[in-house]
Amino acid sequence: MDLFLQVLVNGFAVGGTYALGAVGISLVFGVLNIINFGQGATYTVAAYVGMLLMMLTGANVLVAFVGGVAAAFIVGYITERIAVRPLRNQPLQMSLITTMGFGLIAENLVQFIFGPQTQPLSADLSSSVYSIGPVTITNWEIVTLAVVVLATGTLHFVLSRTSFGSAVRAVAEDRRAAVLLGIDVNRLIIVTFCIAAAMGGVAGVLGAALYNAIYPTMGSLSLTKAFAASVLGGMEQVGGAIVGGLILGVAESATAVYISSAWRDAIAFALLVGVLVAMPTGLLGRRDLDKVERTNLSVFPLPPVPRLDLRRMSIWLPVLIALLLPLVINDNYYMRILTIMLMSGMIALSLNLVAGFAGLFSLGHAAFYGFGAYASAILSTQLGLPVWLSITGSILLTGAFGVVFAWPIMRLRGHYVTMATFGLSGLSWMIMLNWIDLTRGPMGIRAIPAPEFFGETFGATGFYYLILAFLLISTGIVLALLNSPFGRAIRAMRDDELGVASVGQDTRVLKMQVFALSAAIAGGAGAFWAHYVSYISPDSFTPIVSISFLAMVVFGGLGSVPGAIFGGAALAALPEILRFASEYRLAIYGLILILVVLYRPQGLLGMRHIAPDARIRKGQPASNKAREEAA
Amino acid sequence: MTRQLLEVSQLHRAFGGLVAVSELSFHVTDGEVVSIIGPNGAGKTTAFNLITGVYPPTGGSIHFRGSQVSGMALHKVTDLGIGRTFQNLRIFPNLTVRDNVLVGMTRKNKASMLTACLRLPAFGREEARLNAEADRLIDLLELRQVESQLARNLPYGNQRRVEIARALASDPALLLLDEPAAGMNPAEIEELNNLIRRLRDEFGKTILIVEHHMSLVMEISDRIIVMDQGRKIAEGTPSEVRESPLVVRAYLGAGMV
Repeated sequence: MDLFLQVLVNGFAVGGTYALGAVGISLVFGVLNIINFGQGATYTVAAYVGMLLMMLTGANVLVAFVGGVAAAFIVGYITERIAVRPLRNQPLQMSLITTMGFGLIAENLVQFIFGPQTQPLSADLSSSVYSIGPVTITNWEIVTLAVVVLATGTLHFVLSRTSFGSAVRAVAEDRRAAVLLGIDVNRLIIVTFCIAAAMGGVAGVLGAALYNAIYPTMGSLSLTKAFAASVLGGMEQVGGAIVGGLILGVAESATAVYISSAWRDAIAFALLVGVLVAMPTGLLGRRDLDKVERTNLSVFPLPPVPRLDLRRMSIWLPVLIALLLPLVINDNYYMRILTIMLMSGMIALSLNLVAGFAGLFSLGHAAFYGFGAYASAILSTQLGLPVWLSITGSILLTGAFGVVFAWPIMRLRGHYVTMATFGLSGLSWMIMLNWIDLTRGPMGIRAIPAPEFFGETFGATGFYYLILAFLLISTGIVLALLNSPFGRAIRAMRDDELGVASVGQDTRVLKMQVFALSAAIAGGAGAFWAHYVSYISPDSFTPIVSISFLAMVVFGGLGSVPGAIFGGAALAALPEILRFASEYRLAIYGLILILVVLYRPQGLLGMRHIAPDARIRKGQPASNKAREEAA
Repeated sequence: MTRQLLEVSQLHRAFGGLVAVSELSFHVTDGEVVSIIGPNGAGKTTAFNLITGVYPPTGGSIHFRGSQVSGMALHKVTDLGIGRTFQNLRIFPNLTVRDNVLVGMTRKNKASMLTACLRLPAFGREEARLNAEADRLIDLLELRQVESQLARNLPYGNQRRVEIARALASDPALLLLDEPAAGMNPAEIEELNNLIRRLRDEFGKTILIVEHHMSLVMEISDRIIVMDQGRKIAEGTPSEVRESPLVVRAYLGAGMV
């Protein structure tokens, strides 16, 4: 019982910081209906600015706190202006990519300036421990709890009692109506964004003080927690976010004490998935998920699906070039880059099937890629199966895993699909890290055998041709299916799920099929990777990797088959091209994402789309859907 | 007594405290054209959504060809032979007109995914069969000239026709049209009028329509059901309904009578 009280106290303190972050996510989601993947940057920047100020002013905590929060406020302002406002007429998922890019840039800059290591917030940060009955509590836990109550209390007052608050609620309810009522929506949105960012900043400084430790990736981790807490509370409910944060904090602290601290970080991912499966509207959410409908991607026309016409030159020319390349290139380093490019193309192709064609914006493909890699590695090393059999088995198993993966998200749409798949990707990663008997945990699996071909072990060229064959076969399958009733049905599902159901097609079955196919292809790429590099570890399959896969598809063009392959290949080559600037690699990556979405949202090879607003102005016929989305 | 094609009895649906449909009972006989009319918010579209399983009723029952369908999911109801269109259009804007119609036939496709992948002859035969059937619908709805355009680029009236073609593609015995004339010009409404007659007379379809356009309703309906505030307030032939004082009151308000 005493232990439980202690769990509760620690949980509330940590949960308080999650609650603040979740409030930030929920505020932005409520007003703009977008998920701010850049919020992690506010934590990191606030914490580091706080550290810097303490170093300069000699541990004046208050100055550090205020400075950190102000910095977060500014980050919020910049994010909104650069990564959110220009996208008002884009599908809502696009700002997910840009805010993500913004987060990458911020994180990378912090890492570049301060180094990747964990450091104390301040060397002489005083900390003392008090005992209240059987429970001990640190001074920073007390401060955290006090600040959380103060911050959320103030926010509650602002939202419920001031005219600004009622304007926020009006915009959240119906932005068009708010505009008609004369509310300056742009100003209101940016203020909300800044408040949300400041909340993230408060959480960042408090979190840093709580553990007296800061590191550049702290934002990404906290962001995951904020997502989970926000979803648990019902996404757009500020009150729910607070409750969600506290529950998450207590659940984590209980897991660390009663189960194992290794699983602590898995709780957020598990909650994310569990809540979305069991009660997508969260604890305090409204019953309807209407807002989700507006995340429809149908404002993007798809480029025509290339016909599977084997007599056409345009299909054979790239194949011919790919076949002949090894004759020209004798350098193993370049062969390696080319191999990785083809493999990434294959993964992007598989993700494009789900995200581009079926309209399910999945952030879960690192899980499939990782599943395929681990399955084949385990089959061949632990069970001693022949390599070819392992690879085949792994592809089939990953396909089956795709069905399991799709099951929880069958009822979900829009952002909720993104959140749930992100959670699933994180959960898979946690399992790779912590199911040590099977995966050897963080140590990874070594000495994965290379395949043989008529007694010859594969060399650099052999692997190149193998992945080329994999890519060609999967492209062939994808093109064949896209030009079939199945392909028409999934493209239709992207436009309108209810419409598909109204012709007698169960969309849940379609989703499972498309996920199975997509997972099998990504799993094939993973299996290839395992045998190619002969060593795999969970590091290669984090949720961040999932994000980079989505970036490839967006870069190349959502819904374009050649676009996705090109995007995968190009972004895979980027780290090598940018080797001279490896320290800013992630930042450049983020910058490219922002620029592509801002200036060429259809992707490099995608089809131009017309913003729904522009269509109406020009007096062109617009479907009802487009009109709804213009709002 | 012949068994009714569609038998709705004591249908009830509340959204929170709001009762959208209450004690609604009616039937549709094979080969009829029946219209549901009523002021905005009378519960007409809700009734459609209940029949087609977009959401389940909170009470009452729906039988189609004698079997219970209430609470069944939309795709299952369609499978049994009820096709529908939507009040605010749910075509697939980024698919061509032909593909919209072909998606309507998804369930009729007998070629497996494997035959599609390998492009076996069976796949080609099946595609040819589906396309031939799509051709007939495209001609019937006079969409030939626009068949390869994206549905999003069509004028509103044509988009309505695409949706009707798609609904017909699943071969429904009963077709539910939710405000098919909305946004159509008089010439288009005249064409719609002819189309509905042809569907009944040549193709043997039974049709249930929600519509506000009174002259269309009066011309094509065998029977009319009048709803107000979730309830059925009158039912009868067009001339009977026109004379009903209750109907006049619902539409024009009590003071006018």
